[in-house]
Amino acid sequence: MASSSTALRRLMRDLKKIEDEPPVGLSATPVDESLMQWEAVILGPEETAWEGGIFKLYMEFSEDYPNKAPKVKFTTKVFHPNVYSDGSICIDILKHQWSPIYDVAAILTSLQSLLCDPNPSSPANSLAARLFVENPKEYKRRVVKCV
Amino acid sequence: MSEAPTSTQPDKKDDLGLTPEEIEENKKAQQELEAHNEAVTKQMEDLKNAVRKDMPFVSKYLTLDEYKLKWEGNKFYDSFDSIMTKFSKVRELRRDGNCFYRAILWQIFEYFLVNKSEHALVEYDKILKKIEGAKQDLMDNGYDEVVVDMFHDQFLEEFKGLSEPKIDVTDDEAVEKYLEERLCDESLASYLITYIRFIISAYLKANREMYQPFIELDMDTYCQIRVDAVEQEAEEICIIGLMNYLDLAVEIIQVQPDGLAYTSKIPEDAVDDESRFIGRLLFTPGHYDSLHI
Repeated sequence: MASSSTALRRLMRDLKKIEDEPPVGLSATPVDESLMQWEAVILGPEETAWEGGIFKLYMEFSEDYPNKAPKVKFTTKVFHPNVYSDGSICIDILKHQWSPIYDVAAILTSLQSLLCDPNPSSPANSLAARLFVENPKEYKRRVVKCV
Repeated sequence: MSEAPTSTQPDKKDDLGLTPEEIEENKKAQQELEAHNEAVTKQMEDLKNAVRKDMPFVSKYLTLDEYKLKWEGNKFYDSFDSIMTKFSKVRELRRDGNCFYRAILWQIFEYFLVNKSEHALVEYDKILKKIEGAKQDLMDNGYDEVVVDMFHDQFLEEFKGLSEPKIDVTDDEAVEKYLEERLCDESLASYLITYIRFIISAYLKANREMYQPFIELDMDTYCQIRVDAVEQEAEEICIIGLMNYLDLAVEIIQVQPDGLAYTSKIPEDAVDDESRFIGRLLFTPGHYDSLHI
């Protein structure tokens, strides 16, 4: 029967997958044995303004995972149209487009591509969103500064 | 002794080249944005909670007369008269993006739980085989085993359970309770419904030449954001996909603004002669409910 142990089983498999086939430019480790909280790191994609950046994240899963999305936050300061100043992230796949197909690796990969490919139509940081659209040069300068 | 020159410009700008006025303006814009986003999020949550409070996942039977009353003054009101000539009862579904999936699963499970005729058993075995093989089909179409496993196991376990239930299947109340425990349990139902979404995606992807012309997005994106995503409503192509994959039939009765009702069948030549399972759904704009004779 579906229960909290299914979340745990799935998280163990997510962990095994990320250890067996570590994706390029990201890593994730549970904080403790409960596996419900993870710390993750995304490296800024190469040959972009984000190159060289090391971005830390905190992920928190509930017993409804994978039927409900985890809470994910940047703990490193990030200047990005879809990231609030407290690090919360505005991305469809963690909201109304959540699907259990996304595992830890897939979530982090999506966030990694969100870095270079923001969605200015659902802004979380108004200045970043405005510069991204109106003044790409200044936007880039600011991104490079936070990297 | 030398001293580094310090900049003491009166109109000191920050590292972004912004004046204090602009910084203040940005701060205000950011506060407005956050207030707006928060309000939108709260509104969506409130809406979801309101739906949750007022509506079970699957309602008890309503007569079509009772159901019709809810449409009083609406242009679809008269449609129910023609629907009543063939059907007598409705179960309402919660409007949570899963109405089609939950309704069809309820009907499929009910049919094979209760109906032990020879043809029903043959059909049951056929579907069981299909589901047993579905995991491979999912993996062949890009699903990760890690992701699929639990959904597959859970669905298979419940589908197998229909053949030897520990309840009296002639007792309507016991049957209803059995189905509620599975399809109205938030956690278990999520697994069962999501699995159906996965097999539809896999089927559409496997047959993309046939189905791509009917959708605007590319097939992979479509499946990812419209089928696999847990709150997205089923579109007709999803229903066709499910029926074709499991070789099942469904009849959809759709209310019409002229007071008539339009019936469509998938597959088109499906015959409702009780020799096979046939789903019966009532479609009102944007929503499916479960129809019963």
